[in-house]
Amino acid sequence: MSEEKNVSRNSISFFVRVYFVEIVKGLLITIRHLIRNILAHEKGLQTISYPEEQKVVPEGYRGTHRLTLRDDGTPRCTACYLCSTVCPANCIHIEAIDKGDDVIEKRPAKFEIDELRCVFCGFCVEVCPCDAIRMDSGETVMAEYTRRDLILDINDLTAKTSHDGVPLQTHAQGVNPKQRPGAGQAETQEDA
Amino acid sequence: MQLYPYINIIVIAAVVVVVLLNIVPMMVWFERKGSAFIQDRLGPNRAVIAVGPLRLRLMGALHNLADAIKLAFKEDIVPASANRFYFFLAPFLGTVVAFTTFAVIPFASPDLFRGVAGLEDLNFQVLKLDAGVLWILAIASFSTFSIMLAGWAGNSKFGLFGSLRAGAQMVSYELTLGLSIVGIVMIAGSLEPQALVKYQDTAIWPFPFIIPRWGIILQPLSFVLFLTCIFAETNRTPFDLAEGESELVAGYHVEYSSLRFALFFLAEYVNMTVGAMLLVVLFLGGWSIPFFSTESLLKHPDAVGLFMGVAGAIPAAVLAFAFFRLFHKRRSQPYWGDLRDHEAAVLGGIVSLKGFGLLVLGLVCWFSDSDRWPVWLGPTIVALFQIGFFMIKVLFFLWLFVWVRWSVPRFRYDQVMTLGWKVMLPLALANVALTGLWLFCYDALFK
Repeated sequence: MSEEKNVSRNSISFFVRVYFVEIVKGLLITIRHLIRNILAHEKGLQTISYPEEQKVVPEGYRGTHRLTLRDDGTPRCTACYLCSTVCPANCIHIEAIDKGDDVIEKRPAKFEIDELRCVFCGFCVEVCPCDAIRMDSGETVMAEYTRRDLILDINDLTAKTSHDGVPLQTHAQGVNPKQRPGAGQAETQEDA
Repeated sequence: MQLYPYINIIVIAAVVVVVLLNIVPMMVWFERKGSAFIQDRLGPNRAVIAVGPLRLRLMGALHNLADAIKLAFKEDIVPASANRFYFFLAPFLGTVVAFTTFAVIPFASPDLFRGVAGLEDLNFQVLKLDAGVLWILAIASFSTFSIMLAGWAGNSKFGLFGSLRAGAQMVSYELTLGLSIVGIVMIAGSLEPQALVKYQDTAIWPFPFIIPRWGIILQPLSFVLFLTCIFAETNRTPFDLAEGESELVAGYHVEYSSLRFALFFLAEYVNMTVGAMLLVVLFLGGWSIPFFSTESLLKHPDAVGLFMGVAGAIPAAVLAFAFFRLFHKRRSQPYWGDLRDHEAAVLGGIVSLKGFGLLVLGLVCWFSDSDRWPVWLGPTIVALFQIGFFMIKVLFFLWLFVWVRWSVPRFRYDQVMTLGWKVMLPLALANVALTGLWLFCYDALFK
């Protein structure tokens, strides 16, 4: 014997069921948006005109990798293989070399990251004992003509770091030279 | 042999086709930019024509040109299992049907040029048919064949589902479409579009001369029914379940590509224009202008010229002001920082020149002696006025199509069928019966 179950539905008033009045109400809402957007000269629009203006990358957003440097300008990496071991996408390839230094026994002779295979999980950054690899470059757009160009070697990775240790890309700080003035203000207004 | 009627038909047909083909890209622009602004987006604004140092974008209107070129150069794919003959036939049938329906739409009064330069009536419609309204209904129902063929010939289940839905929907709503016209035909006593418009060209009361005898006032219920049916017939939202993207990919034209797809697109927009013009002819008095009958307009062509000049100059002035304000804003920011900022000034200049020219023409009309004008000038001005007024009404309904599309969500299939058979058909029948009763009582009491 099946159990009887009553599902109560909200009753709809006659005016709503006729639907005609509701359509007119909806039309008034959309025309209000249209007129406001025409009169306000694109101020309230959500579109980001991409190449000219770019989204401000928030701090901590994972972009492409960079290798940090010691004070003497060499990479901080000690070729411990932790990042390449933890990498779920197998996109980090390291070859170690002994340069005869007794303090830092190993250095990377080769450090390659295949950005096309990378899944941007950030495990390599978490696992690194020397803070040698970071993903704070703010670069999220990768476009090259060949696949080989997106396999970054050690020179490409260290080139993204200035001698002060900060990333060269300025996206992370939200300063975009091509950005339209006033766009940032509109965003803060939206937040408020 | 009397050549004159044939020349009349050919000239009007050529003008109509050119105007229609120009309405389609404008409608696409309406659709894309309007939907963008309704949804707080920017819309198309990238396609550009470089004229010397200037960059003309025309607020995204050039995207239509780019789209047309792209579609023309796309590969034309015919599925291997498609029925080639019907696959080729369907888009052409749709387009031909869409254009043929226009033949009986009147654009201006046929009386304007009577007796001018030895002319008989100059018909501002391609075909003068006594059963013009029936012609529209008969030809328009052929578009169902186009959709059914397109969905079936492609041999794809999505296309077939889409065309089945579209076919069922169009057959269901055609009944109400025909019945909702019956009311206005009964009152006006004619099936001929010119006669219908002429009937609406007067006022309900001669004094105070405020309410025009338009179908929307005589038959408000059948206006609403007819409007809904036009939405269903053209497969526009909220009745666009024939091409419901979420379920059917694209509906009946899912297998089509290249120019054949473009033909379906063209047919859809031309069908919309047909629907809007039908609405205007049947329910908004066609070319008739409230407060002014054709005779009174013909008596004062100079005043008509002045009115047209001023009425054209005012929106031009508003537009020009908006463009210059935009230019000022973009220069002071600077918005792009290059020559693109100057485009608004160029457009503003063109628009303000146009407005100024219209104003001057209107003033010339007003201050010159209209008795010494050539005989054809007065009727020409009145004809332009009536065609312009007709097009303004049509444009409103075209905008309504876009507006509703981006406001109202799509109906479910069972909702469409319930609405069509259980609500609209009885209402249309009741409307016909009530109109008959009212006409009978009116004749019995007042005549």
